[in-house]
Amino acid sequence: MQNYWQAFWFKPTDVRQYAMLRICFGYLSAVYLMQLLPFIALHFSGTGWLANSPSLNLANQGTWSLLNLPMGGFSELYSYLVVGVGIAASITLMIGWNSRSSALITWIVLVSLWNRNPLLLDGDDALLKIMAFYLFLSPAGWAWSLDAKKNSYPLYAPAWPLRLIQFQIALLYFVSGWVKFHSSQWLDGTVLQYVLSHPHYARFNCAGLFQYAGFLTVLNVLTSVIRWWELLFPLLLLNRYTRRLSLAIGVLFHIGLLITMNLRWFPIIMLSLYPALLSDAEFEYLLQKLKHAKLALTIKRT
Amino acid sequence: MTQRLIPFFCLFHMLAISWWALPKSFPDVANAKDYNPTAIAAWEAPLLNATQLSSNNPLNSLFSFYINLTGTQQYWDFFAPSIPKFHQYLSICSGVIKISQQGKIICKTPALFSHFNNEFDSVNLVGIAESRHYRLTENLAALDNPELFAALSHYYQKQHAVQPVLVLHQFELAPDLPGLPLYGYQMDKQLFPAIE
Repeated sequence: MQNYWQAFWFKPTDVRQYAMLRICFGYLSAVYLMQLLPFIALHFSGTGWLANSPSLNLANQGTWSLLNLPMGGFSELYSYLVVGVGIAASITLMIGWNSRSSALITWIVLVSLWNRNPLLLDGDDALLKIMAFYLFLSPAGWAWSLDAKKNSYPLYAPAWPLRLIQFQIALLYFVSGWVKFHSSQWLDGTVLQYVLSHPHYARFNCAGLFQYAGFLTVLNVLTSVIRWWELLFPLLLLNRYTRRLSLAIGVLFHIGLLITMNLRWFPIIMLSLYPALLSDAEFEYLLQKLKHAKLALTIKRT
Repeated sequence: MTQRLIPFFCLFHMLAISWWALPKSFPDVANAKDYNPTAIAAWEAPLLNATQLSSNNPLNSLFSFYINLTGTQQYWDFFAPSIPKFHQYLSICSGVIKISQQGKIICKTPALFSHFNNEFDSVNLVGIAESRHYRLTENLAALDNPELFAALSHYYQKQHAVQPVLVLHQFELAPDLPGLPLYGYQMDKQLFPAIE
């Protein structure tokens, strides 16, 4: 029992798995912070509409933020400076230069934005700030990084930061599946009709297709599959075969979201988490496939 | 020593984020009218009860402190958004005209701010700015907090030296109601100043 306990937390894990997460989330954080720049003065700085009120007192908001510090006449400049440092740290996280410090700074900036004004932010932003925290805890700079070029690191690292990320993903799906079982529109299957005819969330207005019974049946089946898949996600991870099936459903689900819905980078963020759910052998297989694809592309070009 | 402390920390972290993320009870969720509060199954009760820590409970304070410190707030509705039965847009006007029969409130002069576009396209590639403004509008409409409306209004009052009016352009989505326009009814609301 004790051996199993130790193995669960400290099993040697390929450090490239952490590195892949670092590169993906460093890049995504940099993009997100850059895309928030036009909103900084009005929505996050002391000269914006929230002025110097330190907290909106919302249920999902924390109390600390670099952007709550009183800066007087320099408030706007200071806010841009904080986000600028966040962008620089995200980029250094992506390339793996002082990876742990970069993750720490990225996390502080992302949480500061969230705690200053979460009204513009959403699930994708929440995932980025949480992932920056996990990357800070993990040996994410031990491979594919400038840190690894300068220093010699082991090829394997303890699994516990990966376990935290895996638990995070399982919790996310479970809660969201559970909640769907208490929504009348999810239960009667009409939810996708609302979503696919929504002028903001739907990329294509599918309202014209609702007259076809076959299309409605497909939507009903999809709502059931999604609900059950999300609810059972933590259990499906426990067996090798159900985990692979579950990941395949997840890839299709998020590609479907990417094609049909306007959710910014949310589907990409979710798919970027998936390397954390692969075994060492599966991860190696994925890398081989990527190498072959890259080689084929190079040959085609030349 | 480290080998003992790390699993303890991991378990604590897992408990804390679960405590935060699991719904405390379904009738209390943000859009309770969209959810069925009666269908609590037998297996759900223990999970819901597990999240009910009284404010005197030291674990409650410990978890709250930890979640705040680590910024790991992750309210469930991030991942299971409330059902979009409406689509809605915000305008900030220096004065308004109300056309009650059509459910419309329009700005007298060009809006101080608006992300409302009356042209709904069949192919819709939303930009980043539009998606952030849309999220802000969703949150302001759901929270219905006069202090937030006042703060936003005050900002535009300072910038433009007028008494701004906050207008929510709201449309009901009605895929199950035949004979209506595809995007349903328009029913604009004046959010601020409040109408007595």
